[in-house]
Amino acid sequence: MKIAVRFFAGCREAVQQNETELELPEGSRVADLQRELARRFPPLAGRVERVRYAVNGTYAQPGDPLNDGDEAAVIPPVAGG
Amino acid sequence: MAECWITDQPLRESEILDLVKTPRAGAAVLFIGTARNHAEGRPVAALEYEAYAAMAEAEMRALAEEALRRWPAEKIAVVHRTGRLDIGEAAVMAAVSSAHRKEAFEACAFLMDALKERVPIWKKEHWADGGARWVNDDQQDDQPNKEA
Repeated sequence: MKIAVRFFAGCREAVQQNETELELPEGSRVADLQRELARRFPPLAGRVERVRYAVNGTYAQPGDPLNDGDEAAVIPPVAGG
Repeated sequence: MAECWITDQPLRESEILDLVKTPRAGAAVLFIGTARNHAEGRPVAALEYEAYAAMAEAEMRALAEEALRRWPAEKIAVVHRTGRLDIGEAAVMAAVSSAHRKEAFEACAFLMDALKERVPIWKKEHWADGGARWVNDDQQDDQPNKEA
């Protein structure tokens, strides 16, 4: 299945792109996405365990399922205000 | 009733306060977060904000709805700016109206504490000496900032 992934702030700068698309096996979960991101983007390797993830605009847990066409986002530590 | 949004345009106090006006309110509290010229003792020249806008707006609405459940507030408006801000410019405004002042103060403080904790907005400090860093992000290796 195809998952769109968006990057923001420090993670966006680390991978030098705003978004990408990943092909993941059926049945993949957010934790599988973490591993694939670390493999595809070495600059994220030290970060994948420390950032939060969102799927379709909602915070997600490592065990949450992914579905074809989902938009995931890598959410480094936030600092609004 | 809650109005929450992200904008790259300068924020106007009067617009935010108008959104929370109601004859039922005896109080309106407005918090304004502004770009400060120093951070941890270091001179700051400008701030840059980035947001995952659709999610940020949804999270701000969820926080406002939670505040309306927890306090007898009447109306809430929250707006956060993105892009590059000069020192002194407003980055965020949160307004709450209520029958009495105590709940408006408390709900407004809750909104700002929660916003900083979970709304996907990021702040980059551009220092007066030319360096820069994403606030709260201790993994970055972009100091000093080569883009500046």
